[in-house]
Parts: sequence; structure tokens; C-alpha cells
Amino acid sequence: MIETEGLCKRFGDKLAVDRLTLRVEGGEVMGFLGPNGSGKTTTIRLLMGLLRPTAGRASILGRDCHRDAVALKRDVGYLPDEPFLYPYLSGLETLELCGRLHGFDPAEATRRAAALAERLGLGAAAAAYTVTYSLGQKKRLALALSLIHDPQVLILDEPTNGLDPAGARQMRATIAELAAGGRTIFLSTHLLDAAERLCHRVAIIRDGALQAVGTPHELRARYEATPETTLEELFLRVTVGAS
Amino acid sequence: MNDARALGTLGLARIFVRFRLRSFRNGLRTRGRGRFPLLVTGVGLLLSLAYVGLFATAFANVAAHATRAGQTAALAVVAGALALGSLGAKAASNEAARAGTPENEFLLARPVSLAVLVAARGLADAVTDPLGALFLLPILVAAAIVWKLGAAAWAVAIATSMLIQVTISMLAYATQLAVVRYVGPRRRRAVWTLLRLGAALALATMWMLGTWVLRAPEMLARWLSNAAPVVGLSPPALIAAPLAALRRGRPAEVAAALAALALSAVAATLFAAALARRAGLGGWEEAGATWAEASVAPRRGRPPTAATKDLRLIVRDRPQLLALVAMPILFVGVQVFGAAGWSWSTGSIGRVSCLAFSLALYTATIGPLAHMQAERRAFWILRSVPVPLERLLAAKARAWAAIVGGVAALAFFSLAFAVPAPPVNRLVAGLLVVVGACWMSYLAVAMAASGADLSDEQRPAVGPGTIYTFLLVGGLYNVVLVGGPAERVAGLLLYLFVIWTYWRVGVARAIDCMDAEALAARTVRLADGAAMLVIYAVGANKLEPAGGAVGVPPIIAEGMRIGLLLVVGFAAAVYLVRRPPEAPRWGAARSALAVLALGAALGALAHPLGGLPPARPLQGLVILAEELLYRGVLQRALEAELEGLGLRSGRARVAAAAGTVTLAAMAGGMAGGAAGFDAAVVCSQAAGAVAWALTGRTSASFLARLGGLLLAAAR
Repeated sequence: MIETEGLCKRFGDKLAVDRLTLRVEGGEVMGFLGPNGSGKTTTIRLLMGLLRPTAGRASILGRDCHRDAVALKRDVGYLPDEPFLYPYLSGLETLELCGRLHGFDPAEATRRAAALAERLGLGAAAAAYTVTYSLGQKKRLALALSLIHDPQVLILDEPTNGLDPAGARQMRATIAELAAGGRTIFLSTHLLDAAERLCHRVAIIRDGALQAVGTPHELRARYEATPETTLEELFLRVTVGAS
Repeated sequence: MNDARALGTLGLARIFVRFRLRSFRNGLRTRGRGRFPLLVTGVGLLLSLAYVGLFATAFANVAAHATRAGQTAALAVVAGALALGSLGAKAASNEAARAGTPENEFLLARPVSLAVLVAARGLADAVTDPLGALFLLPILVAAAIVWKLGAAAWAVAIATSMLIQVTISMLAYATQLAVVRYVGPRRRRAVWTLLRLGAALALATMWMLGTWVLRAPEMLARWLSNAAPVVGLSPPALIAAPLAALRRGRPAEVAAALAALALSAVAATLFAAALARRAGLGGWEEAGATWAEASVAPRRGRPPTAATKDLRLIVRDRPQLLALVAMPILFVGVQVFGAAGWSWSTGSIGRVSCLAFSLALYTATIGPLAHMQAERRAFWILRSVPVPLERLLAAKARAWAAIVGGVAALAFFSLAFAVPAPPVNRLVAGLLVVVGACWMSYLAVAMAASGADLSDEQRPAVGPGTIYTFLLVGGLYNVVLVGGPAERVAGLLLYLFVIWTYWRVGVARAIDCMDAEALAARTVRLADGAAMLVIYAVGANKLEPAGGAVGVPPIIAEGMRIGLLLVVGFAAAVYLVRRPPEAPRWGAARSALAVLALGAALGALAHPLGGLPPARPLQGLVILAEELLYRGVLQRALEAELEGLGLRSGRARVAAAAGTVTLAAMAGGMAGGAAGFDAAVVCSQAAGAVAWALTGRTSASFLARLGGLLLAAAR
């Protein structure tokens, strides 16, 4: 479903992603964990075809993420870590724009926009300019944008980052609902308890290189941890303790 | 307990000055992209010197016709208009009053009061931004030069400019504070917009005044001499007073005039500080924040598309809308009623065409050329939908073409009615203008996409280099509108080539515009070659008439044309050195044989045709410059581009060779008149093109052409 093989991305002297080989199966929720600056967002941008790999390859649903970047987006939804929006379009207009860009006719775009705004709880804010939105509203709208075409695969970059506890909980619930619907989700997050609850497997990355991948249970076994060891402790052991 | 002393106005001003200068110095020292500030500084200094020269010429013109009092009035009127324009512009740029700016957030989190912050910032502006009051200093220096006042006058001019700068800064900050404190958020955007409009009007007035000096100096001088008593009582007279007193040879009056300016600066500072103290931070936290000043909900309409989205954003972004609507009107007003005058502007269809096209060009510069700035942060939306970027860019260009073409049509057909010309001529010229303007929208979108770097939040999406290149291509189309028949054809072909080139490169670069690594990669780009070609063709085309206008003999003009070609060739050489070298196709021995054969063929063919220039040492340099441009950059990049389009290698080589020979003929035709189309010159270009296509070596194409020239000369 999602596959990377020896994926590398270099920015000048800095190797942001280092020979990343990873596989996410269909219907799986994969948590992508790592400290700040470890290469999570770069990996996600490579998967979305926003960056050109320096070496290696990445594919989603069998399509190359760089060569087939346009066709790929018919089946992939993307939520960036900082979802900037057109300031003078309303939330509904932004959703409708995305719907039109995905090829829906105006009536269908409007119907989908209204339904998603309702489903993600944008309420009256949906009719206001996005420049008036709080971060939580922006994130919800951005998630709605990623769902407008009902994609099979979702790539979410720090969806709960910067949200208050209520907003984070709501976002987690929405993601859990989407996962229950059978979507493949590649989720980058800092919230390890959420990752433990939501994800079937987690991958831990440090300095651009993959350090560990598996279910939390497998990771505990590999690092000789007790069943009571939290994912946070495991994460620290892999990312800090190892260095 | 912290017993540190609270920071006073002067202390904070000193810190501002020190850190701004250090930041500027660090910017100059930064390698790579940091060279940009150095370039900007250099260009700024050159421009200031040029303005001193320009103002000195204009002021000397007035001085030749006006009385002493009239001359002082002229200085006061121009300086006053500038000061007013500067005040309006500074007050409207609400940066200082915007709580969200990083500097404000940083400073207001320290034990610094708003009053101290405002006063200190104004004082620091006077030191770190000597041209903040626009061109006041060059104007005062120009007056000192014309009045032959000596070095002391420069010091007086600098002191006057700095004091006025402080006054303007303080009054601007006071205006901003008053707007923030006393005008409700919903109305603030309208007030900022009005202030901007006021500033633009003041500058337009000054520009018209300046152009009157050149067009009708006697009339202006008479008017100023009559108005001198009234002007002498107005506030702008204070600005001219120190230099006027120096001219009269009265040092005490100079000191008194400077003291009056210093008093006004102190009064403005106290006023701004008092207003800041009274205002507190009321309204401050939301000032300038779009979320506070935008209306809550737009009216529902049809779902936007890639094209209509841009139109909606423009209509709802009032400052940009103002720039798009009001500025072109001011531009035409200044041109028609000021710089050139109605009878000159509507004297021929060609002039109306140029005016209408220039207006469209200006609209395109502030419209579609700036679109990547608007896309900068939301570009991820366009990149996460399954639509090729080329189609999205084309939709954007179509939407803008409707506006830019509409502006051109409106300007042309509303002015063309005054021109006594057959309706068919008017229609054809109008169509040329409108079609050219529409294509400029495509070019603007492509150039912006090509130049945009969205990987770095700190850099503007579109830099000055892109803007200047865009204007230069606009200059190329002016040749199409008013040139001779051969120039028009050559210009049109070059224009279409540049648009095609930039479109291809723009689409390719837009895909990578968020990728710092891909943007930093240095490759030989066809668009860069096209830009160099246009610089040479347009520059050389304008040199002869420009030289003729100021009485330069044709031989000097020809020398300047060759000089320009050598400069472009040198730029091409530097460009190529910084990129991966070309990959030779043939070894040295085989290439030498090709050089000999092609040189011999060219020598044999060119002699009977008789069109090659005589073999002089400089001619070798000219050929080298041409080869670096045509073969080193253009043919190489064109071949790669054609292969990218799916053409097989052999066909791409032939097409690229034929293409560059055609381009050279067109550019030569524009630059050097009929000589560019000469059969022998075309043969020479063809020899170079074939040599490069075979060997992949610019040295081979250069030697083949040089050998051919020497052989032809020997015969």
C-alpha cells in the first residue's frame, strides 16, 4: 500500500532522510514517531511528491510518489503539519474549491463540502473567512480537505500538534473513526499514548534513519521491556538512550 | 529583585541602530543567497546617484527660468510633495502598529513602554534608513549642486533630511497609533487603504511636477515665481529654508532654519509619545491582524475553481484591489496629463499602443507576477489534488489574461478614438495590444512559478530579478508595437519564444518550488538563455535611437552594441562556469576535423556572399560572446528541452541547431537592423550550430566560425 525503499533526501550537507525502507499494509494505521528534526515531515513530503528524492523510491498503491505524483492524489488525502489556507476564502469555499479540483461538478462539490463541514464540527465557522479561524478550526478544515474525495490512504502530519486537549481528543476520535472505516493511515505524531491507542504498528525514526518498526508489543519484546513499559519510555530508549 | 534601570528612548534607539546595522552587515557577509542585500545596496546607491543627477538637471532647468524666490518655491513644493507622500506611505504601512510583527512581540514582552518604543524607533529610522523619506536627500543635494553651494551645503542637506525623516516617522507612527486606538477594527482596513491612496496621489503629483519641468520649464517657472509668496508661508517652506539661507550667505539664518526643523522633529516626537501613552495598548493587540479586520462571512456563490479562486481573493483583498485599480488610473493620468501631455500621447496609434500596453504590463506586474506570493503558504492545497500543475497554472493565467487584456483594451480603445487613423489600423493595433497583454499574463504566471522559492519562508516568493526580466520582455513587445516591419517580425518571434520557454521552465520549476535541494541545483536553463538573448536584442535595439536622441555618432552606437554583446557573453561565460560542464560528443581529434571542415566551408561560402565583417581582433571576442550565448547556453538547453518533450536525440539536435540559428538571426535583426538577416551572417551561425551539434563543444563552434571568418578575409 505504502512502500519506501532506500529513500534518501539531502538538503545541502544535511541528510534529512537516510535510506528509509518501510512498508505499510492496506487498512493499517502506522504511527510515524521521532524527535523534532528527525525527518518525519520530509518523509511525508516525499510521499506526497512535494519533494524530489535524492535516492531511493517511494510508492503508494503501486504508484511512484514522484513520477506519478498527480495520479496518486486521486486516492491519497494529506494533512500538513501547518495547514495554511487561502485567507479570503471561507471554509466552505475552500472545501468546494478542493472538490472542484478533484473533478466533482459544482453541485456535488457543494454537497460534499457541506457534509464534511458538518461531520467535522466546523459549524457556523464554515461560512467565515479562514483568516478568522483558530488553529483547531484550521486543522479540522485541513482534515476535511484531505477527505473531500474519500481517499483510500490518508497521510497525516502531526494532526494534533498545537491543539488544546479537547481539540486533540476530537481529532483522535475522528482519526479512529476513519481507521475503523478501513482506510490506510500514515500518521506522524508526538502524542505517544494516542499512537499506542490508534496505531497497529509504529515506526521510530532518528536523524533521518529508521530505528525500529513493529507493534508496540513487538517493540517491547525487542528492547526487553516489561509489558508495563509505556511507548514513551520505549521511544526515549530508542531515540535518546541509543545515542 | 531585579534592580536594572528601565530603558529610555535614547538607549533603545541606540540598541535599534546597533542591531539594525549589525543585521545589515551580517546580511552582506552571508554567502550565496546573502549576496542579494549587497546587490540591493549597490543598486540603491547607484539609483540615488542617478536621482541626484536627474534632479540636478531638472532643477537647473527651473533655475534657468525662475526668479530666486521661484527656485526656492520649486524646492519647497517638490520636497513638500515628497514629504507628504512619504508620510502617507509610512503611515499606511502599518507594520509599526502591528502587534503580530516579530519585532513588536519581542519588544513589548520586555520592560519597554509603547511610548518609548515608538519614539526610539523613529529616531533609529533617521540613522538606519537615510532614504526613508524617499528621495528627499537626493533632491536637497541636487539643489545644493545647482546653486553651487559647496561641501557645507551637503552637511546642511543631510541634517535637513534627517530631521525631516524623524518628523515624518513620528507623525506616521502617531497616525498609526491614532488609527489603531480610535478606529474600529472593521473600518481600519478602509483607513489604511485611504492612506495608501493619499500617498500614491502625493507621489503622482510630484511625478507630474517633475515631468512638467522637462516638458514646459518656462510655464512652470512662471507659475512658481508667482506662487512663491504663498509657498513661502506653507510648511514645506521649512524644508527649503536652510539651503535657501545658505544660498543667501547667512549662516545665522541657516542655524535658525535647522533649529526650526529640529523643533518640529522634537514636537512630533513628543506628540507621538504622548499619543502612545494615552493610547496605551488599546486596540494594539489586534491591529493589522487580518482576522480582526476581515468581515466575518462572505456571500455564498458558486463553488470557486482554480481560476475564479484567484479573482475572489483579489476582490476580497482590498489593498491589492486598490493597487490593481487605482494605480493604473494614476499611471495613465500622470502619463497623459503630466509626463507626455494629451496631444503627444494621442499623436499616433503607435504611442497609444505603447501607453495601453505599458498600462497592461504594470497591471500584470502587480497582479499575476505576484501570484506566487499569495500561493506561498497555501500551495500545498494545489499540490495535493490530482490535477497537473500546468493545467492549474494555465487556468490562473487565463483568469488574469481576462483582467490584463481588459485593461489594455479599455485603455487603447478609449484613447485611440482621438487618433486620426483608419479604423482598420486602429483595430489591428488594438488587437496586437490586447493579444500581447494577454500573453504577458501567461508570461507573468510562468515567470513567477519559475522564480518562486517556497522552501524558504523568509524570502519573497518573487525577487526583483524576475520583475526586471518581466519588464524587459515587455520592452521587447514594445518593439513589436512600434518597430519597423523586420523588427516587428523578429520581435514577435523572440517574444513567442520567450513565452514558450518560460512556460516550460515555469511549470517544471513550480513542481519543485517547495524543494530547497531541487531549487539549489544549478542547471543550464533555457529561460536563462532567453533572458540573456532578450537583454541583448532589446538593449541593442534601443541603443541606436537613444544614442541618436542625444547626438551620439552611429559608430559609437555600434561600439555600444558590441560592448553590450560582450557583456552578455561574459555573463554567459560566468553562468556556464557555475554549472556542470557540457558533455563532449566527439573526441578532440574528430572535433578538430569537424572544425577544419566547417571553417573551410564557411570561408568558401561567405566570401562570395560578402556579408561577413572584416577579421579584427575584436571580432574574435564578438564571435566568442555569441558562441557562449547561442551554443553554450541556448542550443544546449534547447536540445535538452526538446528531448524532454519526447523528440529523439538526433532530431532534437537538428531542431535545436536550426532553432538557435533562427534565434540568432532574429536577435541580430533587432540589434543590428538588416545585418542580422544577412546570408553570410546566417551561414556563420549555421556553421557554429552544426559544429556544436556534432561535437558538443562550444570551443569547436567558436573555432569553426573564427576559422571561416579568417579564411573569408584572406580571400
